[in-house]
Amino acid sequence: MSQERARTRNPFQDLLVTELIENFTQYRQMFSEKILVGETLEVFQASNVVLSGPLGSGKSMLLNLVRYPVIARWISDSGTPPTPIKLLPAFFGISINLTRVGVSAFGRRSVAKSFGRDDEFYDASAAADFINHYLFREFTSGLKFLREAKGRSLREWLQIDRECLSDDWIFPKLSKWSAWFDYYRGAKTLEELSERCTARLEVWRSFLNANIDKVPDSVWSTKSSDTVPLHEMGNLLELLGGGGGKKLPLFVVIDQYEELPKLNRPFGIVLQRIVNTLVKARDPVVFYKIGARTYDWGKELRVWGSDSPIEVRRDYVVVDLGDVLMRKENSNGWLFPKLATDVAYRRLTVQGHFKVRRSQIEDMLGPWSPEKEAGLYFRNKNRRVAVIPKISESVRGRIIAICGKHASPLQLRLASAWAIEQIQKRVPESVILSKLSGRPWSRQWWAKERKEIALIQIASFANQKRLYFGWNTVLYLSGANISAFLMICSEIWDSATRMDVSPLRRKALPYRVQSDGIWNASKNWYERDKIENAGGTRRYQVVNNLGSAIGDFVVRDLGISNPGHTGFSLRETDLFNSQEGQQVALFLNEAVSWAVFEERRHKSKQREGAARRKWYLHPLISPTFSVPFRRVKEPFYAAIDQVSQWLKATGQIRFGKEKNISAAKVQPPAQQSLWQPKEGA
Amino acid sequence: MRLPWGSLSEIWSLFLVNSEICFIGCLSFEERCRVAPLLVHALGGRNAVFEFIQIRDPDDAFPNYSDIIESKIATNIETLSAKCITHDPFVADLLASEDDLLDLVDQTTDAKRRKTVVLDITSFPKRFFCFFLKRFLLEDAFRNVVVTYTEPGPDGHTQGHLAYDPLPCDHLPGFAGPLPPEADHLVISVGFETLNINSLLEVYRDRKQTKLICAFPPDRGAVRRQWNTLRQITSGRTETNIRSHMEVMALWDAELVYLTLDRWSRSANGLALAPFGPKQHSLGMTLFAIETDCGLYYTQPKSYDPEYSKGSGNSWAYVVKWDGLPCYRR
Repeated sequence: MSQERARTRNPFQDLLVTELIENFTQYRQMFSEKILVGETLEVFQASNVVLSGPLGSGKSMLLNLVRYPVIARWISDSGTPPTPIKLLPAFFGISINLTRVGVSAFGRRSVAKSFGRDDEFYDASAAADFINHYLFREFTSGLKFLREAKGRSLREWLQIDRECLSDDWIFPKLSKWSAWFDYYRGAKTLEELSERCTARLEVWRSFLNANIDKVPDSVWSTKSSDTVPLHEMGNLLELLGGGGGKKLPLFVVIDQYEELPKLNRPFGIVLQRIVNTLVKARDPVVFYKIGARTYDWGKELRVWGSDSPIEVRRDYVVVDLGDVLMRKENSNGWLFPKLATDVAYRRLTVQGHFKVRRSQIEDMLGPWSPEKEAGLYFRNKNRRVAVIPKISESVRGRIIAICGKHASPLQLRLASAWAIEQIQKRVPESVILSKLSGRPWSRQWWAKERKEIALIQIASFANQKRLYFGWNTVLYLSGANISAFLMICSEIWDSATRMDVSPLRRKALPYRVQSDGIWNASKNWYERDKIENAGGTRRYQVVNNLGSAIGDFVVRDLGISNPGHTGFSLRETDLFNSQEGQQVALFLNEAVSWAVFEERRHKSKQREGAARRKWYLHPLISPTFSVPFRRVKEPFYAAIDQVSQWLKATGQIRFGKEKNISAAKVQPPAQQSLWQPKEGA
Repeated sequence: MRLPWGSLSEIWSLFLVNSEICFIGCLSFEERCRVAPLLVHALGGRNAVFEFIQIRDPDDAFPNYSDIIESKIATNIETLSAKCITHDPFVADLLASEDDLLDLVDQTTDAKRRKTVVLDITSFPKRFFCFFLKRFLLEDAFRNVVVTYTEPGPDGHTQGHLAYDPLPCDHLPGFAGPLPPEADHLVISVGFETLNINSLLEVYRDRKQTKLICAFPPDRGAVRRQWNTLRQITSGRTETNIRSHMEVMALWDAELVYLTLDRWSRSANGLALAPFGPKQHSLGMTLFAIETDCGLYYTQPKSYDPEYSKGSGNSWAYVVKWDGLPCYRR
């Protein structure tokens, strides 16, 4: 492959899945349906579903498949629905993008005010009417589609008899609907219905745009009630499907739900409650599919006109895409590597038109091992002892004697970390010297938990940036987020072409190329949130302060006595027992939603009987601050007021417990030389 | 479309001499917000009525620059007061609703009584001036409407970010676009900031094509920043042949923006417009949106840098309505 071609055709560059969604051919070619759909089947079944996940986790790609034009094209092109879906009952899906169609303006331009009233009911019922009629317009468009030749494959999948789609068959049923209060009286064809519906929606738009001062009586006096019209649509669809107990559910995808409170301060929450009311109806023939970032769902669960909330498992189920893809304690069955391989393969072959085998993907980045990485920082073997801080000469000498002068820097660093930890515990030097012979730093778990921090410290001793490379490293850094994975791949590709290396060469890409790309991706992921997202500037400041503090802590903790202190943990109860706790929770939840932090529940090792949650920087941000991206051991147990202070701080903050590092000064060289050795690689 | 425009002094001598003027401006932290009112005053508009609107950032805006902003506004008030052209400004929230904006238009009732409204868009956020302009152009009570704009000084804009904390994409008040599948082409006027443009692309994902309008700016720094923005906008796009979908036009040429949109609209099923670029280009887009009833989409930042612009430059004026006839009907 020519470098010019590689340079101009980076197949990973199109990060925006939204671009793919409307281009059906690309969507079908790029969508890993077997993996994603197979793990999220509930989205395609007859239940109300909230599909949650952080930014970029693939929610839109998945929900797109519910919409009838998309599944119709899929069936039409492939002859069958995507593999996991063909095993499920058929469904018919319509959608509404609440921002695109202007729902967000209800209440900001108040119907109540135009009537000289101060009553939320006016605006809520206006918004509900708009949503009902908009979805009716989508529904009638769908019926028209099914009549046409291009709707044939979908019609067959739905097992709808074409004759049932005739106006003669449909209109006697429609005419019985009381839901529209005769607004559509006299319409004789689907086209007429559609035109009248559009005219009504245009009236609402004119009002919201302040083109007219009052809603005409013809519209106001025929307002539809909240859930009835959709139920009627569901019933009609079931009849079209054959009726008699044969189910043909209507699915409704609701997009941009989470943005309503931000875009409409006076009324956004009421608009959310209107949607909640639809969910609460637990309609046997209509089912709602709502996509939301992890913590954007659940802030407002009440229905309109009542304090009664919608309840998870009773009224809806949550499918957490983050959870589905996140690595568990036991990595067996971890889905993300399969998805990443599939996505990379499709990008290379479909987007890039490159000839590669699926099995080649992992090899392009190759393996990683801590020993290999450590060796790269000190090519000159004589300099490796620089990773042993200038502790007591006898301890230092013993370590060198046991490990050998040319031992791996990782061994030397771990050995000296073990020794420093003993010194900090005030173990007598004679005991330390005698225990060193047993190579206690090689104990499997002790070493495993400390290797990554040791590598960061070794890079620091060598005055180098840490080197990141290898397929598994990239998987971990992606944090189970497919957008993060694509960004890393894209940056590595660009680095390769800049360094005149073919991205598709037979051997794994050089570690310098990979590392350069990963550092760029880390910076981009971190910067992206600052400029692009609501609240991003504040998160940027907090992450900058906190990331620097954690990074500083990690590099300075030469005893590596708290290897898990690369994240922090809080008691769950502390997050809602006080106003301060609620503010902290709000910030942290937003940061998780925007893929800036990563969060997990965990059990306390202290006997406090409380559930806990722990937070880390998103793995892809970790390189920017020299923070380990693999999570081990117990995080730092923080107090709520401490975290609150971190979030408010405008300057430097301190992370973790104060270390008794004075013990490490038993045989002191100048402290400065411990942290910033002059020896280089 | 005929849009008479030129320096404020030229337009004054051609159109505004002896007019009864209601001047509506934004009392902001920018030094340049006081240039047009002072000039109007100096050119002979001593009997003009000056109405100012002071805009407050939301409480949760971050960074919170309220102290610096207040002090800068106080300086501007002092300068304007010295010429007796301020009184208590109307105060409005940056995220003012459509109803709030309608109230503001009504409160500046002098505008209706006066023969000519001069709307100074220099420091007004888009969600304010686009809405005002629409009301002024569509209501018969407003007979003559002139828009003024003052450029920043030679040092241009701050080298850092101009604005922070963007909201998700939404239409500007009064400019919700037609329902899908109408408006299948998205036109983005490119500025110095991408803000939350990804959310715009997400909301408008049913578009068939994206077109770009770039400004031909006066200095190299601005060129670099604009191309940087362009790179960010296009990096995730499948339309690789971006040049054929892009027009570059002079910073001040609102009329050309309008004409270009008009040309593009002939081969589209309606346009949706995203005015992220310079104010004069936003003016051209707003005029087109008013005339053709298309949507304006933006990701409103909640916080603006107090050094947004440095100093002040030339003041321009655009006669957008005269004798009851909007410029696009001429």
